[in-house]
Amino acid sequence: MSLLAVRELVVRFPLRGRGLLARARGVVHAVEDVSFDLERGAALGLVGESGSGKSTTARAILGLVRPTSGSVKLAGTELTTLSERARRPHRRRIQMVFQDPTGALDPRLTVGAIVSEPLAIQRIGTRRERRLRAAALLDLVGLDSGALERYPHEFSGGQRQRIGIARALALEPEVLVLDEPVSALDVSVQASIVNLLAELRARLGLAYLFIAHDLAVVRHVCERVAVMYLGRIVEEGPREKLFARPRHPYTQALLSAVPEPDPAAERARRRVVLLGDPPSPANPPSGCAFHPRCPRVAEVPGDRCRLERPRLAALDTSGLRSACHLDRPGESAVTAPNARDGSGARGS
Amino acid sequence: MTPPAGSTRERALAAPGPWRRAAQDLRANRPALAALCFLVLVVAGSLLAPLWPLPSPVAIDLRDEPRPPVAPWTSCLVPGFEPEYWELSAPDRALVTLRQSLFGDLQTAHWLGTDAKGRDLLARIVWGSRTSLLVGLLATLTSLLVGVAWGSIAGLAGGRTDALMMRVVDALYSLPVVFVVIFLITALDGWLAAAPPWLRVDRESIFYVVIGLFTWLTMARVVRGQVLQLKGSDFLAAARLAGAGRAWLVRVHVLPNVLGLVVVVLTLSIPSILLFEAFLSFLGLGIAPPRVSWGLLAADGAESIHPLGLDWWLVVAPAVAMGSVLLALNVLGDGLRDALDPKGGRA
Repeated sequence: MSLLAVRELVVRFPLRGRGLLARARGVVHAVEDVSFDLERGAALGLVGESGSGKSTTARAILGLVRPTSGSVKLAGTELTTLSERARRPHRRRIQMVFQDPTGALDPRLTVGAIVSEPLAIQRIGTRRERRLRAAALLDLVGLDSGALERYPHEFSGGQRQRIGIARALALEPEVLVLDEPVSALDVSVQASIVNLLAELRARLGLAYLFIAHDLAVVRHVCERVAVMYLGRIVEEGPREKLFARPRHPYTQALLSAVPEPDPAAERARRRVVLLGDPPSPANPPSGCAFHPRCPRVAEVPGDRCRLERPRLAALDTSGLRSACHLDRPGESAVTAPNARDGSGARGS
Repeated sequence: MTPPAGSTRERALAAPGPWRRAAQDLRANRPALAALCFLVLVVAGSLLAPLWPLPSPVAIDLRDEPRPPVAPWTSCLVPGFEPEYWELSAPDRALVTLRQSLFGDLQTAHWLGTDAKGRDLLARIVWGSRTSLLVGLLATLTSLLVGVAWGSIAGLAGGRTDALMMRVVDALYSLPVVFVVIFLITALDGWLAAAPPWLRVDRESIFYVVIGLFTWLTMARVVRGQVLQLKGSDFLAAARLAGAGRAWLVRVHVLPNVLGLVVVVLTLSIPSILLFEAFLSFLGLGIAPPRVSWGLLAADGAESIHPLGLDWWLVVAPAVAMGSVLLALNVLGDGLRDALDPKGGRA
């Protein structure tokens, strides 16, 4: 049994006007049919453009937004049906690190109060024990315990993120959800935080759900990667497989945008440039949500991409799952000859 | 995870809490401290008004024209005190008795002069401060209790509750306050005169209720705006992730973050309420003679400006009294805001 099992998670937000008598005007499909597993001690990267539903997926798992449907199981306990009160004891097992380290720390509290706040909320230990624990946690993330009595504004962005990480670790969680933990930081600081996160995972046996749009960071931290587009996972699999031979055209486009450090490889790199912006999640395209921007839509015979939504399914024994008609030409009634060959020309 | 013992850690554990730090900051701020001391003196002087060897604020001396101030060093205490007041409360009567046993019939000479009816101006200012301070206290309490609660609840609840609560505020806001107050006081005054005795409230109480009714609106709006902003913040989300209930969120995060703003709004609104009281009393709708308020004194002063001459002390003395209290409130408010903000430097 996996530690965190997400099944068919759907989050939709009603779009309503302002005022007393406003009526729902539509629905934003923020997260549609997202399923994945996170094993104990593993790290899963969730990547995608902004608006692809990565953060909403995280917030739904944590219970900060109410999922419309679907299931989130933490070590076998279904979380989505729990009341706020019943959920409280399970809260400590899954914690979060936020993107903006400044907004995540209450400016009116000292660092000591911030880091020990989860313990105080869960009524763990005496005041003095909590302070000692806070000092130990600061030590763990590489901060001096002199920080206890100082305020967040006295620290740099990287140090603030360390404080946020210390707070997330206060309850000794098994799962840490990291919502773009380094994207708001200076590039020079990003590496140190990424290394800290990798080190903490090894030391404490944490499982990470790592949300990012920076593929290099995800590649460094996570063994498995899931790519989201417009609220759905379009491809998911082991890091090596996904980075070496991406199968979904969207993943191919994403990866082709990453610069290569080697100049020769960089010159040989062929970019797949996507046209236009992602469509509005309030009005997602029919069939495959990616079809209006897909550079390879012509390779699938007929109107299949526009009419039929591809399933996310395992392709072979490699553990890679992809949701593209190119990979499964045989499943449709409109089977074109040589479609296999077409998909064989994959790669960038 | 046992922490290694270290002197930094021990010091950090013994460091003062945020409230102690705020108090230290305030103590280091000289102007704010001076303002606080001044206000404490004013409040004490005002509460103990019957105890001071002042002339009666209503004893009329019609022998001659308004008399100009007498310097205390030329004439300090003179006999002639008459315990003449309006209906006083029991503690005030006790204070008057104490005063008589302490000072006999001695009273201060007219250090600030007298008004056209020969009443001592200093005594009237001291007694009048009671009205102003009561109005200020009332405005503060309604702002804090009703305004902060209303704004916080609306902001936290959101949705329809919020919309409904804020429409109430909008509706009250859109009323022309001065006209409503004038209308209410005149209308209720007549109606209450005919009411059965157990329902009879004096006009002063109506005046206070009406002022209380309108003073919390700005506070409610400002607090709601701030709460809405806080509600979307990640640190509130972090506390919820640790299992914090609504009470915890309000106590630990919302109120402390709203406090600085509340102090600012208070320091801005109390002076305007004091001026509003003065304005209503000036119009004859607030405090009724023989009672005194700073507004009535200002009205008297304004009357003294006439073509035959200017009894300047009747204008200057109430203005200085009111101005110094308002200035002290502002300085104290500034100091409080700085002290409560951890980002405020200790320079």
